Order: sequence, then structure tokens, then C-alpha cells
Amino acid sequence: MFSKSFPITCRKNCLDHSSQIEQTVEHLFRHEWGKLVTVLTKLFGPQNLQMAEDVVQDTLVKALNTWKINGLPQNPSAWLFTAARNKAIDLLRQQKRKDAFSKSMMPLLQSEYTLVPTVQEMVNTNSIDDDQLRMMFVCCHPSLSAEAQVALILKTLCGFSVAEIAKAFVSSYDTIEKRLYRARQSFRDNAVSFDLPPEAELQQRMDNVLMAVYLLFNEGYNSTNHEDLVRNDLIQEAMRLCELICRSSSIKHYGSHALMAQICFTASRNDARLDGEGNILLLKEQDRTKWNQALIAKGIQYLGACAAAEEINKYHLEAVIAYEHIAAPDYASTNWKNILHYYDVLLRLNPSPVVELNRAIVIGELQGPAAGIAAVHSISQLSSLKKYYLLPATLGEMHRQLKDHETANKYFEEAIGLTQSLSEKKLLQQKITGR
Amino acid sequence: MLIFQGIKSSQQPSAEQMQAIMGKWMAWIDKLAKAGKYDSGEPLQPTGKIIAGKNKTVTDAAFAEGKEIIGGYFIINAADYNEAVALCADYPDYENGGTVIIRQVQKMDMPA
Repeated sequence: MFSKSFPITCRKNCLDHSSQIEQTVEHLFRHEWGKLVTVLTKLFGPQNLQMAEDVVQDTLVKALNTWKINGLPQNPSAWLFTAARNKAIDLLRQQKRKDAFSKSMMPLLQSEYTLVPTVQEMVNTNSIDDDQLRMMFVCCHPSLSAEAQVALILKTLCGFSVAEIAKAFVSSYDTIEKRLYRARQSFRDNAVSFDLPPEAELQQRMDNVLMAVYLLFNEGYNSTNHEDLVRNDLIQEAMRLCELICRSSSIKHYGSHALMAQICFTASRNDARLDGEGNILLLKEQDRTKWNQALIAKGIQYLGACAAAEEINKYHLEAVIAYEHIAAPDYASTNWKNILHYYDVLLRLNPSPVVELNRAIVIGELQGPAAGIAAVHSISQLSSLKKYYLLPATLGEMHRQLKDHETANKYFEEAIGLTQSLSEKKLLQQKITGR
Repeated sequence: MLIFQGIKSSQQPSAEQMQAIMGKWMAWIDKLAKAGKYDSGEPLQPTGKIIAGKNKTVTDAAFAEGKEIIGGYFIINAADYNEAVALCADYPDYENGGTVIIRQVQKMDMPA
């Protein structure tokens, strides 16, 4: 997205403005928002996140009011960073509270001699990838719930408004507002710093970050009750952040490459998932020529990049499982044996009832529906999946294959009651009526 | 001359909304320029000074009310007010509380 060159503004001399409109970088405001909030949070400290967001909002409003009449400047990012620096300097000069900033920053920000150079030094794009990665670590602080972490990433790094986040999570404005408010409060209470976590905590925190990116992607990919626009935004943002983590040189993190591969493989099927009328098409029914080859190639590249990892983790396994599906020319030639093996390893590494359920589906494919049903019933914490619609949906499908329609329909009814998604409900309904 | 006045400031636009507004402005200016109607334009800062009275008293202009703010202006080429009004149909900020004031620039015919 950012590889496109920025337009040159010469409204009076060259009249071809259409090229300028086409070249306006997609989501320019959102992504510049993310960079600006990041560097200002580095400057002010996470405890002053609100202050950073206010400066950025003011800066972007000012940019809009200027640019809409003057056109885009040659380098919009540089324009914004200069404007943000000036606002930050004004604000720091007015700041009278001595305890507002972190101890290490206080002396630098309070002396007029060091104030401007310090702001110049910190508010720029020299290390923007690493800075944004650190910002992700801040957002994924263990004091916050997973929902709060994802909401905060969307608000700070992706430039979503509270209303847009609420829409993405099918939640209310007030809920999201409160969640973000508590997150900012927690940064103050826990004196969260912008530095990378200590070595001992690094891996755990990295996992939190990857999990948040994965949740973001999943929300976009799986919430079929969203408009396409919102879904695609979330998918794109997840990919952008994941690529950013892969690019960053400050920490080793093969997991991010595996996650990126998995995201690419899954997203490559996006256009093949629905038929012309918006009905869900199962993997079995999808037209594989509609899978996005560019994304598949990208996924394979990322998968190759993580082959150097010393230890295998759950992201690798999920990525190779996704790859097995992609590699099969048609559904019948899916290598279920390999996939079962990967699920077995995954279960050892990362025991979870959802993984067990997916493994049971593979057993059903390999050994028939009766074996599949037995595998479902032997899931160790089956009761924790009580509210998960894919459990009855899976059992329903297996019983349908056994021609036990009465039991199958009971499960499908149960699944319909558990999913919010209209297209999922429709799909299940069709199974009951036996289309 | 088109004078752009007053955008409500109570609701902060999101980044994506700003991008959309920006896109509409660029499309509008593009249309004016392609039709040969666009001459020039500048944005104005929201702050300023007012000098008034016999004593030439200078005060800071506090454009606190969104409605009073003049955000900028365009000079366009239009044959008459009817055409000028028609050219303003695509002004993007009506729904954001914005107003367009159209004033004809007084041209003085100078003897050669």
C-alpha cells in the first residue's frame, strides 16, 4: 500500500487531477494516525496515551482542512510529522505537572534547551517499524484482556474510531469506550513503559501480540454478519500488522512468519467462500480456481522463511495445516493423513478442545463419520464447547452422513441457535431441509 | 470567489471519515479544473487578528464558534451567479454543517 509514490501537487500548472486522486494512498489517514500515535506515545509515555491521541486528532484535522483546499503535499507523512512535533512542543511547554512523564524523560522535556531536540529525535519515522512493534507490545500488556488488547490495537495503530471498533466487534459504543478507558487507566496504574519487555517475558508477550493479530484476522475472516467493507478492513489490517512484525529486526520471532503464512493461505480462499447469492460454500464445494494465487505464493514465501526456526510452535502447525488444504488440487485429494499428524503434534503442544474438535473432523474424513463422532465425544473438555456452534454443526454433519437425519437435524437446530451469523444459519437450515 | 464557512467541530471525524472527505474535495476540484473553471484557492488558519475602531484596537480573533470559521476560499471562473451556484453542487461539506458564500470579484475596467 505504501509503495505507491505520493502525488506531486501542482494544481495550477498541471490540470490532470485524476491521477492525484487515484494515487492518494489507501487508508493514508488511518496509517499515518498509527505511526503518529506510536511515536507520540514513545515521547509522552503510555500513561499519556490519551494526550498522544488528542495531538494526533488535532494534527489530522488541521491536515484535512489544509489539504482539502491545497491538495496533498508532496510528502504527506513528513507534513504530518512536522505538524505533530510543533503541537507536541507547544503542549509540553504548557505542561506544568512535574509527574506527568516518565522519570527518564522528565529532565529532557522540562528544559527548554533539550525540549526541541528531544522531540525532533523521537517524533520521526527513522525506526517506525520497531516503534510500532513496541506499541503492539504496549497494547498487548498482560494487564489487559484479549478483547481490550485488540480494541486498543485498532484504536492506536490502525486509526479506527470507537464507533468503527464497535461496528467491527458488533458491540456498543459505550462498551468499547469503557474498555479503552480502562486500558488507558491500566497503563497509568501499572506504569507501563514503552521499552521492550525483559528477555524472560519477551516470548510470552510476543505470543500475546501474535494472538491479538490472529484475533483481528479471525474477526474479519469469520464474521459473516459484517459488511464486506468492515471485514476486508480487518483482514488487511491484520496482514499489515503481521508483516510489520515480520519486518522488524529487533527480535527473533519465527512465529510471526508462520502466522503470516497461515493468514495468507486462509485469506486466499476469501473470494471463493460465497456463491453469487451470498451463501457459504464449504471447502468441498469451493471453486479452487478462485483462490487468490498471489496470496498463496506470498504464504509459501513466509512458510519458507520460518523453516529456519529451531523449535516448532502452534503457528507453524496451523500454517502447514492450511498449506495442506491449499496444496490439494481438489477436495478428494486432500492429504488427511498429513493433516491428522499435524493435529496430533499441535495437540501435544497446545491442548485445546477446539483443536480436538478439528482433529475429530479429520478422523471423520479418514475413518468415516462413526469414528468421527466417537472422536468428538472423547474430547477431553467437551463441556467447554457447549456454546460453540461448530460442535453441534459438526456432529449434525456426521450424523447426516450416517443417514440418521433425525439426530442430525436436532444438532443442526442447536447450531442455528448458537450462531449469530445469518449466512451460517441459512447454511444449517439448508442442511435440515436437505437441499 | 467561493468562501467556505463553518464546519461543526463537536463531533471529531475518524481517520477514515477524514480520508473520505479529502477524496470528495479532490474529486470536486478535479471536476472544476477539468472544466477550466478552477483558478486558485487557499486554506485559512483558524486564528487571526481583528483591528477596529478609531484607536485601531487589535484583538485576537477567537473563532470559537464553528459557524464563524472561514476555512478557505477558491477563485473560480463562472459566467454568472447561476453558473457559480451550479458549480457548488458538489461542495463536499454541506452535510458536515459547511456553507458556501459566493461573491463576485469586482473587476474595474481600466482605460487603456
